[in-house]
Amino acid sequence: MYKAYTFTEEYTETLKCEPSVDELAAAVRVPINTLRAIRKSGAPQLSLDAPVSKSDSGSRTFAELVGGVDDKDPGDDMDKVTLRSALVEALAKLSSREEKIIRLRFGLSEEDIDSTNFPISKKDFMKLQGGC
Amino acid sequence: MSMPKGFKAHHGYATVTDRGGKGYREIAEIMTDDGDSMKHSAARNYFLSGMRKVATTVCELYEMPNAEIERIALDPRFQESIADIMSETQGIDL
Repeated sequence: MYKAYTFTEEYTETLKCEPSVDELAAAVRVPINTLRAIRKSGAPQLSLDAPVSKSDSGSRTFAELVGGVDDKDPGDDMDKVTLRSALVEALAKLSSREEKIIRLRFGLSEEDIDSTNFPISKKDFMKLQGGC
Repeated sequence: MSMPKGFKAHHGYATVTDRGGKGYREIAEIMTDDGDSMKHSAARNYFLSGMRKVATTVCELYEMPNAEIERIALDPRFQESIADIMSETQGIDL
């Protein structure tokens, strides 16, 4: 790593441009893949718990910014909301007959007191009234 | 006319009985009692017509081919999700 750094410095000073990876690998006598791996391992390491902003100790940490692999995609949630509102709009366009039949098919009654489909006798009704 | 022999929906049928839903004959009877005379086949046609309308919206939203409308409308999973939405929006004027 140090050799590569020194060579890059000298090369830049002399030729006013940075050496290519091939040139660098040839200069330090290591294969290109090894050089790339060394470069990667030499990258500065960051703690996920470190604050994002150095000047503000109370700022958010990197862990708060970087989502985990199990995190849900906010786009999916947005899609669901869009689909749902589109479906609600489409349901509003149904004819009253279609809506009624669909509600009956799914057992959705609009009435709180559905005496037709759930009949009770007068005696039971009086009993319920008395109980209230 | 009976259903063709060997017909099977790809994903079974929507579970309407668990929800207290009614069969097409019962629906036709209720509609007839309410003054809107119809047979069970008409009740089924109105139900599927409604499902197709909603499925059309889905196809338009996701730019799917029109051929998908029928498949989506008949899919019990789609029908149950519609039932859920209608159940949640019950009492709210759509």
